[in-house]
Amino acid sequence: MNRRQVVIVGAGPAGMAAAVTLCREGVLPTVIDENPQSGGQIYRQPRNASQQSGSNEVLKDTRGNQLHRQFQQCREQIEHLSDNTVWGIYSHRQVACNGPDGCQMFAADHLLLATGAYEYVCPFPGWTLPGVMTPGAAQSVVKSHGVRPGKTAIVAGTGPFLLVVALQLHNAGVKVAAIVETARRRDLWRHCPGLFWDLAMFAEGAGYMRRIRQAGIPMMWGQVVTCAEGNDAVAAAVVAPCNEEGVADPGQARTIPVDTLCVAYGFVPRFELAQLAGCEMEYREAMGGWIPKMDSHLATSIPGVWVAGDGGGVAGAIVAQLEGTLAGLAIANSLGRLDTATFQNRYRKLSRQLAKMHRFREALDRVYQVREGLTKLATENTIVCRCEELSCAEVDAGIESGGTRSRTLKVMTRLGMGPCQGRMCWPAMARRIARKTHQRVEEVGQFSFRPPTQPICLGDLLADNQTLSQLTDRPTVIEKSVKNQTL
Amino acid sequence: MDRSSQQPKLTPDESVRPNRGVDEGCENEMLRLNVPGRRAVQFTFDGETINAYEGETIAVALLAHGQRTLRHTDRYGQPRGLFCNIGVCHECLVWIDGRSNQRACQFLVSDGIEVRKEHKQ
Repeated sequence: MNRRQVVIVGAGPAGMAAAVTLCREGVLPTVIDENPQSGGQIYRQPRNASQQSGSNEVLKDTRGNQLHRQFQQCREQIEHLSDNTVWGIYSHRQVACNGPDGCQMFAADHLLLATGAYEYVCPFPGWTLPGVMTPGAAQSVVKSHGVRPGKTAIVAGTGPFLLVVALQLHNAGVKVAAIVETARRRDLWRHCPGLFWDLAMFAEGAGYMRRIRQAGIPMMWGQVVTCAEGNDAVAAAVVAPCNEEGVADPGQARTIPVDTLCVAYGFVPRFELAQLAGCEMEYREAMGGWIPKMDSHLATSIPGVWVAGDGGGVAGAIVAQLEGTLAGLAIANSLGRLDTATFQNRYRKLSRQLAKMHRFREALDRVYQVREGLTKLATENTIVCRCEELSCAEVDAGIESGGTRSRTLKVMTRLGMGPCQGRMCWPAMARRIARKTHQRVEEVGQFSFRPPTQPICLGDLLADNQTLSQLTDRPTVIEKSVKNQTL
Repeated sequence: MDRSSQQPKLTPDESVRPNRGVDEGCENEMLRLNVPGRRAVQFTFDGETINAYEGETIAVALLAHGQRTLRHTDRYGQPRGLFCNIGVCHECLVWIDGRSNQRACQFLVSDGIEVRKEHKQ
């Protein structure tokens, strides 16, 4: 068994900040991350110097540069396992991962989960067509690879992130036909005062709005994409105005031809590893859904397991970075590397900053809330579980015949039994069940993950006897023929 | 594995303009921004040769090639393509060198790899 003092899962803003903080306190962390480079989804690595100093305002992304520099400075002290997917957490903080060198297992004294979030998409007719993707997907295609996802795009959903993506697509030469925002303009005015809690962020948002206007991208407030049309790929999007609840008015719908449709309604925390670690969970709608319960030092209910960043509640990169620092200090403190007085002092400063961010976020959440009516977008034939190809009617039938909790519905319909393990379908379906059965979403229950949380090759698992023997006490007999099959 | 040196590089002036020039022979250059200094690689998708650049994922290389459908579903045979691009949705699962259920959005291209929608014996 490979023992490590601190294992950090995720090299986004939270994971990087925690790693840097730990290094400064003399603790050498191991960082495991799925991507080839650190930065996570939001702080994608800057490419080269000419791009950084270039004239292109948006593809030039300086956010996170300081953190990248700090992380680079500590690279001698950090064991950075990039391209490695963590697919299971076992008892006593054992972390199972799979990468270019095959399967490995680490036993961590302290485990920090900085797993981030993914985008929430409400099922709607046509959303499975190729060419429909999340704004984050389109952004990373452009930013990391310099490839345009298509020629004409609509960016739709809710949240300030849409503006960022639309502008990046525009600057890359994609024609952005419209930004379709579910929030109404008056929601923005109404909650404007709350946004003054963070003037820098407010100014950044206003700057984006101005550049969207200058770029000539139509901003459609209070509208929603109700349908994606096309045979083998998306060819058009149907856009209709919606009311406060997000219920679309089909009478006023119009069709806009596009080859790329980016849709997301905010973010969902990636809590699967916290759940596998056995952490007590709670449902917080404003935080994006299920999150592990944490104390003020970001410790979970399991000793030695900590959570920082969006995986513990969606709050964005700046909060993630602050939380990463806080978790790093807390871990250093509990390892005896940082005396409690210094820790308390720094903790107070960080928590003041976090409180300020929190107030700004509350106002933003009220503007860009996930509206009830979005669950009504799916029609009878709409596929709601993308992996198992279940239609909305099939799931509704399951709910009506008693599948009113996550477990029962899963067993009855296979909802969430595919390779994504319910990540894509469950947030929307839990809301649908809740609405149909007059429960609160938390009463519907969490969807449960099983290792491996990502498909891994049996051959990789077999090649590593050490990991295998950790997982089973029985002799394992697996035919050679299944070696290339994935679990 | 250190792959930082293989990342795509965008030059400031060219990054805003569609690249109509020929750059080491990629077919669908309409969708690729001009990123000089990258090593071209070739792989196959369902037997067809795809030109790509080192540092790209399979999903992105295929998107740039105009290939949006990465698989057909088991139950209804519907086309599916890149969706979340961060390894969460598992819509981009393909066969890579005979290994099933590989996420095309997480797997970097390299010379000679064989990618398939469905398994061929």
